[in-house]
Amino acid sequence: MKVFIVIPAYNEEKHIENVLTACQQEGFSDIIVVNDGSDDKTAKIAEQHGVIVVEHMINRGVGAATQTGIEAAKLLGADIVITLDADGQHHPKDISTLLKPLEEEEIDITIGSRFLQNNTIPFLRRLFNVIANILTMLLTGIYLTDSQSGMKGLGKKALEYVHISANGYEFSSEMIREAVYHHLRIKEVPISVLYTKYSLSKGQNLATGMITMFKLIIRSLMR
Amino acid sequence: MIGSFSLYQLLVPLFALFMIAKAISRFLRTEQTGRELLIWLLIWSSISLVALFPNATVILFAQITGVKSGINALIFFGLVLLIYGFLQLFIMLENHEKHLTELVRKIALQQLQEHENRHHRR
Repeated sequence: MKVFIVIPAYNEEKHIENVLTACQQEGFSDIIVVNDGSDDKTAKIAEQHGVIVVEHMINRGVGAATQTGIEAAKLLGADIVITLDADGQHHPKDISTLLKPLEEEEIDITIGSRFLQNNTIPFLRRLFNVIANILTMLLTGIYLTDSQSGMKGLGKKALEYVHISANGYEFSSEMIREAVYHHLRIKEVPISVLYTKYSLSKGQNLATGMITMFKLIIRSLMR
Repeated sequence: MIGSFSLYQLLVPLFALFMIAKAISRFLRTEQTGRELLIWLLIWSSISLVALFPNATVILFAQITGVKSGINALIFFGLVLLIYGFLQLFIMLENHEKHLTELVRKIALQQLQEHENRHHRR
C-alpha cells in the first residue's frame, strides 16, 4: 500500500524541519507539504528535505490546503493518506497507529484523538473541543471525542468519496459529515499531542472557533 | 381573491412545496442528511401555515413574543429580512471563496503535474 503523508503548512519555517525529519525517521518518504501561500521559508525548507511541495499561490486556509494535499496524493497514486499539522503538535510515531486499522481492519477513516490517552491539554482547549464535538454530532449524528483533530488517516474508499469544500478549520467536521453521507467507517485511535505556546497561538481560539461553528451551521442549512 | 384566500396565500404554500421537493431530492441524492431535511420541512411548513392562516399565527405570535402593535411587528419582520439578506450575502461570499480555492488548487496541481512529467522525462 502506498502511504502518503500530507502536511498543510502556513508560515511554519520554525517547525516544518523537525516535523519532516521525524516523519522521515519513522520511515515515510512519500511526503507532501502544501505550502499555503506562506511568506516565509516554509517551502524552501521542505524542498531541501526532498519532499513534494505543492504551492498555493495565496493563503486559502487549512481545509483548502488539506484537500489540495489529498488530491495531489491521489494524482501520485496514494492508497492511504495521513494528514498531520505542521506546527509540531502531532508526533509522527502515531502515524502507524492511524495506519493499522486502515490496513488491517475494514476501516475507511481513522481520526487521531488527543483525548483517548493522557495528554496535557489546556482547559479552554478541552472546553472548545467538547462544544465542537456536540455541534458536529448535531450535524452528523455521530459523537467523536476529537472531532477537530488535524491528524487523520484516509483509506482508499475515503479518498474516493470525501471531498472537503470548507477552507478553514470547519473542514474537520465537514470531513466527518462527508464520511457519514457515504457510509464510511470511522474509528478513533489515541494519539499524543504536544502543546506549546506557539501551537496554541496558531490553533483555534474563541473567536475563530465561533466563526468556525457559525460557518458550519450556515453551510449545513443553506446549501 | 380566490374563494376566501388571497392569491399570495396560495402562491406561498406552492413555492414552499417546490422548496420541500428540492430538499427531498437533495436528501435522496445524499447531499443532505435526514436532520437537515427535517429542519427545511419545519421551516417551509411554518411559512406555509403563516401564509394560509395569517390571523391565527398573528395571535399566536403576539401571545408568544408580546409583539402586539403594528410598528413592533414591522420592526420584527424588518430584522428577519435583514438577517435573511445577511445570510444570503454570506453564502455568496462563501461561494466566491470556494471558486477562488478551486482556482488556486487547479494551478497548484497543474504545477505538480508538470513537475512530475519533467521528472519522469529525465
